[in-house]
Amino acid sequence: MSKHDKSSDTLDIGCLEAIENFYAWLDDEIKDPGAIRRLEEHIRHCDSCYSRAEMERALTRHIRQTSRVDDPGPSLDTLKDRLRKIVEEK
Amino acid sequence: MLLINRNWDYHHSNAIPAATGKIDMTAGKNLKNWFSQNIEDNLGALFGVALRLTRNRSNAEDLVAESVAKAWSAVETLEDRDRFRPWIFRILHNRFISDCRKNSIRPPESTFTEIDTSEEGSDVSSILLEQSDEFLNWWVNPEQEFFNQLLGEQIRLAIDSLPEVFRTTVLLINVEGLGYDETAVVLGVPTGTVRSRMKRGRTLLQRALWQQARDAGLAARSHRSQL
Repeated sequence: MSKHDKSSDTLDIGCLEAIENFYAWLDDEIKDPGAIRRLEEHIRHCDSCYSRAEMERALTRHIRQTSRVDDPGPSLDTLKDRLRKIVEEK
Repeated sequence: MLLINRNWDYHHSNAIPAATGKIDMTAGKNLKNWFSQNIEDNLGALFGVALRLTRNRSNAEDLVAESVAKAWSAVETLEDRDRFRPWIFRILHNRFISDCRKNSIRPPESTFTEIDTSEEGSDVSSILLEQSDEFLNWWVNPEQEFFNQLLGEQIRLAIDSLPEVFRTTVLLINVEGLGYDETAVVLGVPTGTVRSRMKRGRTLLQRALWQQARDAGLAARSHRSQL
C-alpha cells in the first residue's frame, strides 16, 4: 500500500474533497456509508490527510478537556442557590 | 436525531418544534423536580458555554441565571423532554445576543483582523486560499511536540479569539457534543450553515494556535515548501 508523496500532492483534488468533509466525518455527521468508506480509504492512503485527521482528533480532545465544566463544584454554589430560588419562587 | 422544521421561525422563538416524549404537565411538583434535575445535570455545560461567550465569570453567572429564569417561565412550551438540552442552549444563546443588542455592543469579536472571518465563501478552497503558505505547510504536518506541549490556557485563549458565531458552533459541537441538527436549532440557522461555520471556525482556531505556537517557538518558522 503506497503512501502519497506529500511534496507533490498535498492538496490534490482527492484531498480537497476529503477536507471538505473532514469535520462532518470526525463529528460523525456523515450518514452515507459509501461516502464514509471513500473518505476513510483516501485518508488511509494519504500521508497529509492522515496527519491532519490525527491532528484534528487531538485538537478536538484538547478543546473538550480544556473547555468543559463537568462538575461546577463549590465555586458555583452561589449560582446554584440563585437558580434554586428562581425555580422555587414561580 | 432531530429533524428540522424549515417553516419554523428560528430567529424569534425559543419554542422547539413539537415531537414525541411529552412532559406530564398535570403534575406541577413533578415538572419542577424534572426541570431542576435537568438544570443541575446541564449546569456545567451551560456555565462553560456562557463563560466562553461572555469571557467574564460574573457575566456568565448572570447569563445562566437569566436563561434559567426564562426557561422556567416558558417550560410549558417545551413539549418534548428529550429536547431540553438544545432548548436551554437556544435560550442561553438568544439571551446572550439580546443582551449584546440591549447594551448596544457587538458580541465579543476576534483579533483576526487580517483575514476574512465572514461566513461567505466557506468552502475549503476559499478558506485555504486565505491562509499563508507558512500556515498551510504547518497545517498538513504539525509538529507532534506542539500538541504535547499545548496548554489548556493557550486553547482557551484561541477559542476566545474566535468570532462569536464560530466560537459558539465549535463549543456546542466539540465541547457539548450537540449534533449539527441540534446546533442548527440552538443557533436558529440551517444545518448547512452549521457545517460551514464548523469548517471555518476550526480553521481559524488552528490558525490562532499556530500563531501562539510560533510565538512560543513550538512551531518551526519555516517549513520546506510543500505546495
